[in-house]
Amino acid sequence: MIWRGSVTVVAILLLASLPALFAQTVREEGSIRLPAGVFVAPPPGRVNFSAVVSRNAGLLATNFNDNIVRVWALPSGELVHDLDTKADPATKLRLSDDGRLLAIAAKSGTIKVWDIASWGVGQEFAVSSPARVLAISPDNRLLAIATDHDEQIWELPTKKRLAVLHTPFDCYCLMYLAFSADGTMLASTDGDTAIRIYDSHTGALRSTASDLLLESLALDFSSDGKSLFVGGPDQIISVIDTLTGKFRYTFPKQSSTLRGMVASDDGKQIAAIYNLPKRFDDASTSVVLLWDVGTRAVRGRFEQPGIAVLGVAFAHGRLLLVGGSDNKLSIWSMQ
Amino acid sequence: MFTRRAILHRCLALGSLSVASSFSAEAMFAAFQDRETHPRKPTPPNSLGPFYKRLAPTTATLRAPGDPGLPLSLSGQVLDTRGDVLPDATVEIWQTDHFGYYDAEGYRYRGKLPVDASGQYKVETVMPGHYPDHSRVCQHIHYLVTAPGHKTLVTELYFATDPTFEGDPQKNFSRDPVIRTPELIRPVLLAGEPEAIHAAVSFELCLERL
Repeated sequence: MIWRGSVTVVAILLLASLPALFAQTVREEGSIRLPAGVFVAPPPGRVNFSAVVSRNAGLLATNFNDNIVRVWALPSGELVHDLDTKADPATKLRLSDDGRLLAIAAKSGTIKVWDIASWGVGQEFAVSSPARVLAISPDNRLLAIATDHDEQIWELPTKKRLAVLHTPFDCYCLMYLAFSADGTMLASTDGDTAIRIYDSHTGALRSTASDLLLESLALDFSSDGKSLFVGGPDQIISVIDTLTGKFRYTFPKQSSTLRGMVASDDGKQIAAIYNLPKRFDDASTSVVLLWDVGTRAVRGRFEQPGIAVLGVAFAHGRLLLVGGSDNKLSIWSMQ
Repeated sequence: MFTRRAILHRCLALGSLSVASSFSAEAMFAAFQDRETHPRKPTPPNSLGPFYKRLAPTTATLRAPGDPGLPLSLSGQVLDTRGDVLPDATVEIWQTDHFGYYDAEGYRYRGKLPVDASGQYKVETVMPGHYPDHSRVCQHIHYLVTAPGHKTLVTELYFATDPTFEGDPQKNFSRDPVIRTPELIRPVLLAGEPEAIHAAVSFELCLERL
């Protein structure tokens, strides 16, 4: 009887502590009604569908099914700029962390880096095949471009190519590139499932994480650059030592593919986007988990049926989420 | 000693070779020599992922007894662009099950196998399903082919019977945005009794020398 009573007390205490564990406030901050005929979900057969959020959570850039790149202010959802790319359709977008630059890769193989304030092209690059992935260093000095055949690091102010990094094979397979917070390292998810970490300025290989069995779709450095968070179809966030390339630890496994991830600037939290379907790029329902890095416990959860979360960013002590369905985008904050 | 080009000129002069083209004889000779040196076009590459999984088991039998789906025999030969057989090649294959799902937990419908002395491979599997998201991604099987001294080939095999092509893959291949060339779409042979029907597809793989 004492035992059964103790269990009851423990159960009541656990239930009482749940609101504390998920002490989150989700609020809709703004919404965007897209022009008629423009849809959030990629229509069947379309690949150049893109939506990116700047790390400072100030801007959202989108490229949906009308080949118009739009830049929106967050969290208001106000349209800042738009650009018709029908003549040379945009294939990939990347905003700089501070939201000052927008890199647009086009089908022709050109990459234009736009200055958002003046809406002028700062630099233009050409590569042999359409860029598959882009990354801008946090200090806005470096641009990393992944093509079907290689990865290239360019210095933006001088337009000098600093390094060409050779991928394991031609496979249209590189999924993600990320610079460390100090801009000294570039991490790439390569087709052979390895994660390679390079010196951003010389292209020298610093370390290789080769223990992963599946490809990774998302990665981000810890703020001190000592750890790299990676995840993908394995449904696990793995933490890799950037010096040795060895696993340090993993987060609890989930039941769906992880396809996006960002670490907070203080390194204490990770927001990870999981897709409910098993197709990694299908934009239907997503789940966002807010992880506590110290305890590896879930501290917040966002899920709305039919809503695809396109991007997340930490700013001003909260997590900003951008997602939507059909013809509408919404901006939520999670406190 | 005559060069190949000189022999061709001599043949042309003596009437044992005729050139019926709007291009010059020199241009046609260059193309002729190139085709002699590289008689085969390398198999076009295609997307790897994102569900490639390292350390697949060595097996030619991906289909287990009772597995749902149309039994499929895949076969082919691995060659280089000069037409030489590559007996040291390894073919790695992965695909979805009949319902369109990859096995990320284990190694169902994943396997690699060495080719035989004549560069041949044969795999028993099932026809892969469409992805369950109703996208236009066609049924496909992933290949990763390696051979010493040759460029690794990552590609995909598609099926001419896929409904997306509406029976005309030459015309409709680009309905799947990942397919850049109809060369990767292969005809399907149906065989057996109606109650025990099975499909067979041949897919030759041509690697470039390093």
